Amino acid sequence: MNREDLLFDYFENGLDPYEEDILFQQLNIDESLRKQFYQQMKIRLLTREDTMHIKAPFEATQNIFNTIGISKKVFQTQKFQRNFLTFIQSKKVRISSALIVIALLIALPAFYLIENYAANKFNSSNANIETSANSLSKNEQNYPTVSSNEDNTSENNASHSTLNQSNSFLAQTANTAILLNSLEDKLNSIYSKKLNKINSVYTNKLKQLQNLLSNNQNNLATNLNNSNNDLLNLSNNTDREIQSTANLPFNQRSNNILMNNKQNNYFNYREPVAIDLFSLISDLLPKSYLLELNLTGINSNYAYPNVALNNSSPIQYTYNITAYYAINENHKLGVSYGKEQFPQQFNRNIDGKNYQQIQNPYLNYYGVDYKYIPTEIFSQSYVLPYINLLGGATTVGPLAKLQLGGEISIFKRLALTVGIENSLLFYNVDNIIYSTNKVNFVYGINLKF
Amino acid sequence: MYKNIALLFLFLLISCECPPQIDTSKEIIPNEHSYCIFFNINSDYKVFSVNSNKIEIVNSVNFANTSNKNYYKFPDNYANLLLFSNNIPIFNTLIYTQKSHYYTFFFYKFEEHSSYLFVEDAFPDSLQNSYIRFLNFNSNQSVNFEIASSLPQPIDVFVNMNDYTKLIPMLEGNIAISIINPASQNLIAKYDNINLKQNSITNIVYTGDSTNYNVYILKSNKQ
Repeated sequence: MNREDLLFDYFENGLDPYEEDILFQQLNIDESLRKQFYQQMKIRLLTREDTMHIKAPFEATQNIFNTIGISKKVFQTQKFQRNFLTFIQSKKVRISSALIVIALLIALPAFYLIENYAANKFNSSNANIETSANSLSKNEQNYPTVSSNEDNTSENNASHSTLNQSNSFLAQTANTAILLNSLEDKLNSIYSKKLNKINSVYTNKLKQLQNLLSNNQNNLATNLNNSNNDLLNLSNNTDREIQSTANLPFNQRSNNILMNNKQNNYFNYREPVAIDLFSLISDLLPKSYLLELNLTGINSNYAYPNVALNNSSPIQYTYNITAYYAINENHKLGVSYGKEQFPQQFNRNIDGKNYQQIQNPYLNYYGVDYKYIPTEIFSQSYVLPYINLLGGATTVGPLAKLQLGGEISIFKRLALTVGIENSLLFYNVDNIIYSTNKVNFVYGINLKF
Repeated sequence: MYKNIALLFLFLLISCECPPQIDTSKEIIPNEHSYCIFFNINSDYKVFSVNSNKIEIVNSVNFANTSNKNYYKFPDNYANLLLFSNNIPIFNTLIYTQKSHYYTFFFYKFEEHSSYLFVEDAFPDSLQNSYIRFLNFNSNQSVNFEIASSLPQPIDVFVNMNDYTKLIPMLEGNIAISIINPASQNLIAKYDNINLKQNSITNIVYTGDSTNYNVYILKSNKQ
C-alpha cells in the first residue's frame, strides 16, 4: 500500500494500529506528505461544515424510511419537534422572551424592596399602636404602678421587634451574605481537600521519580560519560517541575480553616477516620471463614447411674474443645477432644463371689462432630440455634453425644454458646455391655476465623 | 480421611482401658454380704486398710477412732480378711459371716502381740434400744465396770482378762461408767456423760498392762 492509499484510507475507512504507525512515521519524515495530509483535512472540514447546513427535505426522508419499513408515527413526532423548534427559533419568540426576562429582572428586586418597605411600615405602626395602648392602660389606672418583669420584657421585646423589623432588610442581606460566604467556604474546603490529595499523590510520585532519577544519574554518570549533559538537563527539568507543583495556587483562607490556623503546611492535613475496637478486630479477621473453634465447659445435671462415693476423687474441670470445618453456612464437620466425668456401676466376679463396683472416673474422649445450623431461618437473629452430633470414643468405650444449643453473637466472629447435651457412654465388663447416660449443661465461646 | 478416622477409632478401641482397672476412687460392694465394722486399738499401727478376696473393703481404719462409725458390706460365708498398713500385710485370717448379720472386728495389742476379736452383734430386731458392751484387753487384771444411769441402782459388770460381754441393752440417754479394781475395790477410772443413742452400740474397751492402761469408748451405728 502506497502512501496516498494510506492517507485516503485513514480519512475514509480508518487504519489498523500498525498501518497508522507507518503513516505517522511517514508524516514525520516527509514534508510533502504532511502538506497533502493538511490539505485533505481542510477539505474534509469544509465539506462537513457545508453539509451541516444542508437539510434533506422532510418528504424525501419520509419516503426513504417508508421504503425501509419504519412507521409514520416516528415522522409525526419528528415533524412536531421540527415545527416547535422553528417556532422557538423565530425572531418574535426570541424578542418576547428577552423582554420577559428583562421585565422579571427589574420586577423581582422592585417587588422585594416594596414588600420590605411595606412590612416595615406596618410593623412600626403596630408597635406604635401597642406602645400607645400600653401607656393608655397604665394611665387609666389611678395608682402608681410598679413595672413587673413581664412588662419590662414585653416592652423590651416590642422595642426590639421594631428595631429588628426596621433592620430586617439589612439583616436578611447580611444572612444572604453569610450564606454565600459559608457556601464559598464549603466549596473552598472541598476544593482544598481534593487539591491536597492530588498534591500529596503528585508530590509523592515526583519524589519517587526524583529518587529514581538520582539513582539513575549515579549509575549512568559512572558508566556513560557522553550522556552526562542530557541527564543533568533532565534532572534540572524535573526539579523545576517539582518546584512548580509545590507552588501550586492554594486558597489561604480555606487552608487556615482546615489547619485550625496552625502551620500553613497542607501536607499535615489528615482526614479524620473513625476507628473502634470491634471494627478494627473485624478488619483484622478475614472476610470469609472456613474454620471454627468451640471451647465449652460441661456441667453435669443428671446422670444414670447416680453414684455417690464415700471417697470421691478430687474435682477436675470438665471441658470440650471442637475445631470445625465449615462445608457451608449450614453444615460443619469437626473433631473434638474433651474430658468428662462418667459414673459407672457394674458387676464383677472375683474368686467365685459377685461384687458390684461403683466409680465416677474422669475420662478423656475424642470424636468426630457434625454441626447443623439452620441459618436460612435465623439469619437475622442474634441467637443461632444449632444441633451437634458427636461420635467418639473414650478409653473405656464408644461415646455418642447430642447437643442442642444456641450461639449468642457478641460481635461478628465471636459468640457465646449455651446448650443442653445428652451423652451416652457404652463400656464392656465381663462381656456385659453397660451404659452411662448423662444430661449436661454446656456453656462456652465460639470463634470463627 | 475416612480411613484415618476409622484407624483412630480402631486405635482407641484397641487401647481400651477396662473399667475395673481405672485409677480412680471406687467402691466394690459384694452382692451377697454381711455387715462388718472394724476398730483399730493397736497402738503399733496408726492406720490400716481392710481387704477381702483382693477387694478393698475399707480404705483406712485409724487408731482409736472414737467417732460414730457405720458398718461396711463384707462378703458373706467364708472370706479372707487381710489388713494392710503402709501396703504391708500385717494380719491375715479367714472369717465366717452370715448374710445380713452384723459383726464387729477389734484389732488390738495383748501382751505385746497383735490380736483380734471378731464378734457378732446380735441385735434383737424387736427392740429399738441402744446397747453397751464391755471388753477387757488388759493383760494384767480383771475389772468391774459400774454403770450409773437413770435407774435407781448402779449395774456392776465383771469382765475377765481378754474377755468381753454380750450386748447389754440400755435406755437412751447419758450414763457414767466407773472402772473398779475388783480385788481392792479401788476406782481405776471414771467417765461421765457417755451418751447412748438408739440403734447404736457403745464399746467400752479397757486395755494396757500392769503399769499403763487405756480406755477407749468406740461407737457404731446400725444402718
